[in-house]
Amino acid sequence: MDTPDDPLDELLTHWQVRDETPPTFQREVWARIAAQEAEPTWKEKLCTWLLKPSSWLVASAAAILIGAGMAWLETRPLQLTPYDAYVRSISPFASHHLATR
Amino acid sequence: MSIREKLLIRVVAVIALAIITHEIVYYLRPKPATAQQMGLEWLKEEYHLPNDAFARIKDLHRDYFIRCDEMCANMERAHRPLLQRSRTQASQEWRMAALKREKAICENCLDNMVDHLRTVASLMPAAEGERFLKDILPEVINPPELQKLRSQVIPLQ
Repeated sequence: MDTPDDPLDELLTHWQVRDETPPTFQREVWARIAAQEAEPTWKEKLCTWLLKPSSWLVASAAAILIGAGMAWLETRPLQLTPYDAYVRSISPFASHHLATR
Repeated sequence: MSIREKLLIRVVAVIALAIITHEIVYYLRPKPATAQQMGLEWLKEEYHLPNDAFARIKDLHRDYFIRCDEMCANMERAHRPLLQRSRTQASQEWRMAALKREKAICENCLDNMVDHLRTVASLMPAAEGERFLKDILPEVINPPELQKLRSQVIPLQ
């Protein structure tokens, strides 16, 4: 196929490809691979874990346990003898008083 | 939806779940008796109070519990400046004046409590009233806080 004269033809005839790679080529390639596979930070790990369906279940179970546990603690009967309960209820000093007994 | 939005929604949902669970369990669990309720029940059983006397004593306590809360608040207010000033340099005179004020408030609270107990005893059958005072007064008449204040405040010569 005839092509019109192109200045690029002349340049291409003078172009020589070097077949030697630089001495650091291999090391640079491995460094790039290592950078891509670097250990994720704790934030990245946490986000990845939180987005998994199994973590959703664990977090829900923990929320239920914490909520129920706190309610249970708040509705625990007082650990006082009836006598101490009376003293605590009538003495303005009692909260400290009982604590130091 | 971005990852950040997804995470935010999950965190909010988990917190909401914890709050809802807390409210449900709190609503369903039987409420424990307060110290005041336990104390009054004990008073009725221990001193064999007839119903009419107990009703009057209960009313008396209801009014007293309000005063008792006020007394606690007064004692707290009197003690706070001492705590704050203890961190800075306070003059000896200022400290002594504050201690005297606190002691006066505490003595007044103690008198109020003893008056209340004597009134309660007077509403009980005579022997039970005497036993009640013998049981309770030694326990409450010398609170450690007041003993400490009494030893700190130097009486005027």
